[in-house]
Amino acid sequence: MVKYDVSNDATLVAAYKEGSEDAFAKLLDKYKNKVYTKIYLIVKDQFLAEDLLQEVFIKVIDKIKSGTYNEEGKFGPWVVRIAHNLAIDNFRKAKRYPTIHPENEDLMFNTLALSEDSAEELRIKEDTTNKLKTLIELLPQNQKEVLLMRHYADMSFQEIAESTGVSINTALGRMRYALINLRKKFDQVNNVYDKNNYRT
Amino acid sequence: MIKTITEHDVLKFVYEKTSNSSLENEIIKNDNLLNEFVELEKAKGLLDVLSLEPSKSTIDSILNYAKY
Repeated sequence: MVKYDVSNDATLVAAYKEGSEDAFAKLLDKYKNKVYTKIYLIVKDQFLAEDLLQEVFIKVIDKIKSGTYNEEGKFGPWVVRIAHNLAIDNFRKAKRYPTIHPENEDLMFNTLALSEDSAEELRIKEDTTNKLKTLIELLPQNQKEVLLMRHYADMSFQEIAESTGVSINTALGRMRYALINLRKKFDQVNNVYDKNNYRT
Repeated sequence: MIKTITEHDVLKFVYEKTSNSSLENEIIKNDNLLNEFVELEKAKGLLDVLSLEPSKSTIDSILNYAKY
């Protein structure tokens, strides 16, 4: 089995052009979360984000297979640009202000489980996930938005500031408050949990 | 002119991790900044447990399309 340097997108794209579906799977694995999050942040609907994610990668696949993909550009920024344009086009066509549907208000956060996690470690991670998910949802909207953009969509603070129409200091301030608030509330929730467990 | 290191600089350092030994030294020397760094790193670590990702069925559909 051929092993690819997963840190080198150009190698993976070249391998996929030559017929390696495994190389494409690695590219997809590397970018799926970031691209999905970027789309979600624009369309605010996880099901629509999933559909658009598919459209993005269909374009990517078609471009590579047709031989017209230009290796001078970096793969990652290129895919993200496609995603951004598709999401914006969709938003404009829908001609509605994006709202989160009541039935899918909760973000589809998953637990980042590692294959070597024991059952107990996985249980602890899932417990942490559930608590964090609730706490993130309870953040003020502007803090939640910045947090998602920086941590999950991997946008720079400059990009976040431009995207949200605020100064970079405001973006940094929101992120800082989001992280500090999250951490304090998580500790409080955990302390309450521990006290309840040890009550006599 | 000596630039004063702020909490925002610490946050940028946590997330952008640019190689900046003078900033690192300032953080280490200053208790308030060091506490800030530790708290932000802990919070970032918590968030790393979560991933915002698409469903398996969506990924499978894409991989299916990618087949030769």
